[in-house]
Amino acid sequence: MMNRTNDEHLDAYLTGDVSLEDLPEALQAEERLLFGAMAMLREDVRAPASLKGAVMAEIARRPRSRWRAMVDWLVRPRTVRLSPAMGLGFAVAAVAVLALLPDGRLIPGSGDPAAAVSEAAPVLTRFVFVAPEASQVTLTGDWVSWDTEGIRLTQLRGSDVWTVDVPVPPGVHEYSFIVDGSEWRPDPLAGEPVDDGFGRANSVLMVAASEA
Amino acid sequence: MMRRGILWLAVLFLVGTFPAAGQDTDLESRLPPEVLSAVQPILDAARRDSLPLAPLESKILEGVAKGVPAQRIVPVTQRLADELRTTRELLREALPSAALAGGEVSGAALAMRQGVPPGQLARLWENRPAHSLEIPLAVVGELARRGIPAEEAVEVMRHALQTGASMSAAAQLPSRMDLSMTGAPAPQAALLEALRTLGIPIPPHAGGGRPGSPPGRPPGVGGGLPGG
Repeated sequence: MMNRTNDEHLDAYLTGDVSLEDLPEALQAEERLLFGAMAMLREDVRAPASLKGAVMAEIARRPRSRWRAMVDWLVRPRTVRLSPAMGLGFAVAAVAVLALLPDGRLIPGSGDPAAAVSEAAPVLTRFVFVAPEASQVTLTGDWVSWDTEGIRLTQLRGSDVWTVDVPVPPGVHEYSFIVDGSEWRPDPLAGEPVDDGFGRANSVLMVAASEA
Repeated sequence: MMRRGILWLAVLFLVGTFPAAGQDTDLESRLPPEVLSAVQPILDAARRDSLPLAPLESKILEGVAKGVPAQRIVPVTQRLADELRTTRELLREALPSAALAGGEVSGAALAMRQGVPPGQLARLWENRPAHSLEIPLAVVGELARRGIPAEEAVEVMRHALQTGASMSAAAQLPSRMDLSMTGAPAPQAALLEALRTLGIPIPPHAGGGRPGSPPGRPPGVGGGLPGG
């Protein structure tokens, strides 16, 4: 018998020249161990029936954070029992909320592209008023909620001309000048004034949104 | 646990409504108590009907600023609320599917005050731009106030919208027309001159005007003119 090394035995075994029984005892044992391991890996391993219950019990045993508990409460489907009276109460509350919102819109200032003009940037507007012998001229209008303090006009040096540049929101506005704190006067440069309903007259100003 | 959760949600829901409920805070702080109590029913009714509140509140504040007694502020405010309500109803009849902004109702009310029928105003919605029609509606009213027939006034603004004319220029049309009228006898002639001056396209068949004049940026001079 030839004196072979282990590698030579294995080469002969793997090429099929010799059978398992022809290998030395040590190599046979090693080969049988490898066969056994391969057979185990091919087996369809199934978790024992008790595993799921054991895992869930372990999860339930661990303490949950408040945040996690709240999220669980919110996302877990449940059956809500509501009496007709309570349902009616919720409906009334929802209607009341809608009625309280300005212009009946769900979100004030949004949703309607037609409302965009009032949300556009104010437009710098020049007001000019000629007032001989006036010591003070102020401007007020609906865009400043008719504040009687008004916006002060500046007298051009050596003239009767008063002027001011004011940012005015786009839209249709009514305004008036107040001369010396008491005399309400419409703007003679703004065309025919409109009746204010109180026996006086206002001027009309139309400001379009800035065009890019 | 569940019942407590529902209660918390209800509390959050109600807390969220407080800012909306407190929207009259500014008005309350500026109005004398007798005026506030007198106009409150009008404002409540307007809120219930989803009418635009801004013009009503502004009219009340204007009355107070001008020293008008409460008994005179109330009928003026009530009349304005009625006018807005009627205007909106008529517009809704003419435009059943259009969403109407508060400013558009106010602008339409101004035009209808000058005798422009709602059916005519509704034509402006045919070329509704991305922005509000408040300015075009008000311009129609101002043109009518200056003697332009309603149909012609609407056609001028409809054509301006259709051709993409500058709304800044359109807003100056009435005051520019006033300047023109000092030299021209007829409102129509003044309108054509104003349209040419402001570079607003003149609609076909409009008082002998040339159709399709190019739009342009108007000069900005005078009282209350934007761009100063």
